[in-house]
Amino acid sequence: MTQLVLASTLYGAATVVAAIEAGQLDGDERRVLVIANTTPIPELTAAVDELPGFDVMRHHFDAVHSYNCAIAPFHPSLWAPRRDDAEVVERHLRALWELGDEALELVVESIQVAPARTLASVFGSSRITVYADGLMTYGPTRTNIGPWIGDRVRRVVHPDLIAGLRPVLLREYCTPSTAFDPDVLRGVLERTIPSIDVQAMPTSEAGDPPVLVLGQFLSALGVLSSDEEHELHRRMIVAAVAASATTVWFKPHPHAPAQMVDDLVRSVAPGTQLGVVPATVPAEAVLALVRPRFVVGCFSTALVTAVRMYGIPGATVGTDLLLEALRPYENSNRIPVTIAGAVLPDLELEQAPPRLVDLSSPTVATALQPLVDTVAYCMQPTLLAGLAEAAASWLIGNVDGPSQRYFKRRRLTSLALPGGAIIPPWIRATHPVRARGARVARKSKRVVRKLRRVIREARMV
Amino acid sequence: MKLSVIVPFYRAEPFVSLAIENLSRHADRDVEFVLVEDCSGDRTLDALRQHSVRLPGARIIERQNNGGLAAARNTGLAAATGRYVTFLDADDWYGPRYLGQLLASIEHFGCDFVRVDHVQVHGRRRTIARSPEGRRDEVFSPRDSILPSERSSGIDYPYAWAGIFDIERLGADLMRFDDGLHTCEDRPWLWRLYLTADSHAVTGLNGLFYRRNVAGSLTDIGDRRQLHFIDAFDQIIAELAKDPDAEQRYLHKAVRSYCAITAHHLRAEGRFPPELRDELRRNSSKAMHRLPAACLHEVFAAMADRRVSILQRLMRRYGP
Repeated sequence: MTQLVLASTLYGAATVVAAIEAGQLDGDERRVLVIANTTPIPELTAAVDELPGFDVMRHHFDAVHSYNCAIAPFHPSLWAPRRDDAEVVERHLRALWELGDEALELVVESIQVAPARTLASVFGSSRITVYADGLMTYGPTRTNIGPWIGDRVRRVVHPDLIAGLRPVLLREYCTPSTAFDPDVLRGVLERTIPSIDVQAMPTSEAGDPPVLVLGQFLSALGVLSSDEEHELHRRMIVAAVAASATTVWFKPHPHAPAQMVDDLVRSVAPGTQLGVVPATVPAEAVLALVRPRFVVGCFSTALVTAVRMYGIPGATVGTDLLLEALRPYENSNRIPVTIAGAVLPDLELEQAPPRLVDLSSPTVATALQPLVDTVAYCMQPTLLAGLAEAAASWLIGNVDGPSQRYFKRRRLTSLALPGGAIIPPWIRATHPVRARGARVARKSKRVVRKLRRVIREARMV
Repeated sequence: MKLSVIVPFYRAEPFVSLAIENLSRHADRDVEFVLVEDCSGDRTLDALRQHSVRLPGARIIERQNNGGLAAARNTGLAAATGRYVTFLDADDWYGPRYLGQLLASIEHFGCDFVRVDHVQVHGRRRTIARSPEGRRDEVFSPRDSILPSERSSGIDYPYAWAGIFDIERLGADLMRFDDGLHTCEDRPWLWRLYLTADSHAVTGLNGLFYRRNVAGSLTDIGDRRQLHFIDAFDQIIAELAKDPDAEQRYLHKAVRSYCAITAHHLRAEGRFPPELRDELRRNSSKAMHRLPAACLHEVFAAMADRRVSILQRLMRRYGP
């Protein structure tokens, strides 16, 4: 058996390497890494294997290939062969990557979308292991990936970021998940640090570590407008200063345009010491190198990483805004926002340096699991029909409490769950089953009317 | 210096950083990058100065007045020192190793110019755009790539940047674009090239990524400069008239292209403001009436589709 690993970010590659070192991807004869560069213009950005930190991971793989080269000039996030062409493409990729006729195990991230989904359909008989893409793994599968892929997934492997919390991803296929110690991941990430160019890092005075603000890039996804995003970042900095930060470092999202950062720097209040971490330095490296006093973010995975792996206090800003702005309800960022909002303090309410939450304590996961499961059910009620009863009974006791903000009344109503509006049975057309009945009835009425009209016109002629 | 890459910049500040990043991936001691700043009047020049420090072989040429793409390319050509020259638009980019392969192709074929395919980019969707010339990797006279007129041929692939040109063999005059044309500048330039050059080749290299529908690009907006297609084609017809032999063989093709592009603009006239629409109609009608009547008649007979009725109606209504 050969393992074919697909990675598109350095963090993803580090997760795989950590899983290997933690003994989760049991040793096989051959391991081939395929690297996809999924940035908007991959021709002009460095792929994972061109990044300086990659060298410490290379020895885990017998061969490294570029997916972008294999499918050039097309974009890996979009290209996929027609269904019946998959076999032909498999033949050629096997030849190109020297895979022979060996049985394959695919190790991929984000199975719902290209390129992972493309490779899963091209190598149509392979076993599949899915590894975590940050907090998103805790949420439900975005779409129905179909049995030809879903049934082949053997396991979901993820770092135990929230100790004991079970991912909802692929639960519709009863896929087991296995967690590994996040310290192993930290170990891998730390080995990459010596090769990172920290020349351009801002400076901080000894004894006064900065507060790290993690930027997001939600305007690219259409979740927020650029103005709203700018305001969110500004709020984070203001809240950090209000919580007695003297020096603030802003770490922009790796794909954020330079313009966005320039605008932010120009808009902060005079007197605020704001440093900008260059895009080439990963947030994890900053955490390890300067150990910030605390970390502020909205729902980035690095926020939870800081708390869990580095013992640095973390706080959120703007989770309420995001819980409202994420549309539709099943937007896959909802679970990361829910987790960040539920386990970490809100800096704007605290107005003080946040305390450290112990994410390794099982009590956090025990309290969080039913919330995550219930939000996940509301996001994907068709895929996760098995969670309906548990969701209903949990909502009875919790929907009026502080957890209310994670749900939308409209969604609860349409799923006939506690917390939704009570609608008299004769107009309960929003209930999924009744709604379908009503649609069918309306449609048949239209068909009958149309038939009558056709007959009438035919008679007139 | 072997190769000069001419890149005009006009109000392209958001693309400067990417453009320099792109070119720096193809820097080589045999290659110079002629970055022509077309008097944008915004921060484009500052951005160019700031970013080009990391581009070996970069030369910034400032224009004193804004002249449009054709004039900017001419400025670049005048400054270029390479034997070969190629063009690039500021918002487009190259795939890995493209420039080296492009240079190798013309050195291999040893002809006057080489034309290549390219990739059109719409967000993450990409399509391969091939030159309609089917004879690949062989050297032949570009005159043989003009006909037939009833289907697309090499000359109907009007992208100056999809190729590489040997200035030593072609001569600086032949390479010059028509100053003052803001759109359609590639057409008369290409016709001159195809009529005059001795040899060319077409090869299946597709490493240039051409961004379609960039906000504010000329093809989207109804702008007076869009009407330059009339001047461009008048130029082609005028030059054909100088060479009776060529006129006899190729006039039909030129007139047909002229009709096709005119009909295209008339069909899409909705994007123009009313006064410009009127100007488009009157000028197009005049242009059609100026064409040799016998040839136009033949073209209409051969086209035989909706475009003909659009043009005939226009000519009747607006007159010469």
